[in-house]
Amino acid sequence: MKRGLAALAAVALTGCQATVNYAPEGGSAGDGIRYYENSPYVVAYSNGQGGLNWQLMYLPDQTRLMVAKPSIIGGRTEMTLYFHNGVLAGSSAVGDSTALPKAVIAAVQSAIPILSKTLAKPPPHEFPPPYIFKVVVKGDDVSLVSAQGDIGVKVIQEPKS
Amino acid sequence: MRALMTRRILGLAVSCSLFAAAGCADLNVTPVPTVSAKATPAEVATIRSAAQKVNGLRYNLPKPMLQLTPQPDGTATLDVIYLPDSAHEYAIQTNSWFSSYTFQLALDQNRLLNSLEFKADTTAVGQQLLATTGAAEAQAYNLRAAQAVASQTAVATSQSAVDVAQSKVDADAAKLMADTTTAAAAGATDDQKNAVATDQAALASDQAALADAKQVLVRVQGQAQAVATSNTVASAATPVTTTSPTMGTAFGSPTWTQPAAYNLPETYGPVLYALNESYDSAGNYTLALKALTYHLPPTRAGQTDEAQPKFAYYQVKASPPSLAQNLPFKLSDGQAYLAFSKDTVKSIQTASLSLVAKSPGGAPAVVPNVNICLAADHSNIVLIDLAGLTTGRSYLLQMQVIYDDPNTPSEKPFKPPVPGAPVSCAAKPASPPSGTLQLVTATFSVN
Repeated sequence: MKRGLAALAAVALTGCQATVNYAPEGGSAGDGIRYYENSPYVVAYSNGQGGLNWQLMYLPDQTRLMVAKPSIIGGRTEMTLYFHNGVLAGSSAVGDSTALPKAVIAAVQSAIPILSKTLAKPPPHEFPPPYIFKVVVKGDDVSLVSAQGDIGVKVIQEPKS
Repeated sequence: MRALMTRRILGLAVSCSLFAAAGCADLNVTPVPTVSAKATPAEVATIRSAAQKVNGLRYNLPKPMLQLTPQPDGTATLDVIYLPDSAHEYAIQTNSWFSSYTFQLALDQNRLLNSLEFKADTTAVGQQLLATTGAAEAQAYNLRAAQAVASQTAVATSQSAVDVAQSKVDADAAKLMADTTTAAAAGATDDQKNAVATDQAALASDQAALADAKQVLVRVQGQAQAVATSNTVASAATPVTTTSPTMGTAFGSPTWTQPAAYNLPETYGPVLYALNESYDSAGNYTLALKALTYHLPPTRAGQTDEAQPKFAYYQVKASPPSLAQNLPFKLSDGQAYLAFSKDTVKSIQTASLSLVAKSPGGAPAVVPNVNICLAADHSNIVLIDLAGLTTGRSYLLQMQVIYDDPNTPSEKPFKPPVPGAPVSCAAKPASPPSGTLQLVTATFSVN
């Protein structure tokens, strides 16, 4: 009996759990550190000279709120997280624009001619609002979800009539 | 006694388990209640009170913004900036119970997480308790062993006394029997008869001693023996050597960068677009770029809130205009323009115009008869006729201009150049205007 309890105590002391859980908000990680994962976006805007600028960039994805929670019961744990602009760095979700599949680039470029028609003809004295596309990659299926700014940008004063 | 010791040992072992289970170091992150734009004053007070009661280090999640900033050349630059999202503010709190931990946190200047380290060790107390349990067990064992030895020694001593007393009784009985036989024979002397009485007395005395010795033996057999403490006190449990978590060295003092300053060409400020995305209750994804609205102060009566209001600005005297530098132009465009930093130029001194071509590896050469003028209706733009220039070369333009240096903002209107549409030169003033003479230079390339 006594030895059994001693063994139980030993298990309690040494057979412990010390992990760090990463899960979406509301999931198993509970009340840990909240952070966003990032996603690829494309921003397209007029260069003001009849052309178009577009940039592929990784931004915090506000629909991917994650939680990192260290869990420790009778053990040791070490958790070090590095963030860049509030996005967890070092995770597999951190993207490298050079690593994007060619399909993504092709999908983005396919939208450029359509944008050029719109953005290359700005109304007088106003810089057209930029477009943003969220690049959604699901295997071989790459799609772009778009939105455009709701107002243009005045660069210089309008002439007085 | 032994059962009591066992129970104590078991109790200590169970305590070890409980301590091990209860010992913990935890990191909790609590959302801080935030006030929505539609909250009533009463709700604001309630939420602010609730927010003040949340303990812990605060940080925010980022709100990405696209900032389009007007540039002097009629274009706009795009920057992505990250602002703290007050709708996603959290408080980090750590606590420890029978454990050791280290915690480091570094924030960016905009309250975004930069780095975080949390190390915890809950094993030290449990290990120490287990070691203490072992020491207590050893101490109890030593005590029991010493008691057994002492008891056995006492019994053996008593038994020896009984044996000695029994021997005396047996000897007395044998002597009495012999003397009794002698005294009963004919012709026994008085001394022989008296010896019987003496033997009887000795036997009675030794029988009494034997009885006492037996009683002592019985008592010793049923009684635990106190033992000397020098035999039973175990040394205290040796402290368990554990290494507490150590602070990581990767964390230094965060370096906060100087905020960027933007040079705006006129009264219009940049436009900030908030990147909003969410899923609705039906699971539909929405993405939007919503321009932020400036809420103008009451002093600017008559102006409504807007995303890009006009800001008042001031032109300092003795601050001459300068030209945009290092711009690339296409020879096929036929015409290029350079923008002055300020709308104060009144005329170009044609006689001072100089355009020098710089070819790679070659000597600089003056370009003759180049047509350069102030643009009509664009008093801050210099037109350059690219005909006669050569691709792959850079050019240095030098000229003197006469500019006005008012200390009040100019209200002089002008049109922006339309891409692709030719812009004509302004009419040359009949007489040199008044103002300050200034030498300006610019470099540009033609491709």
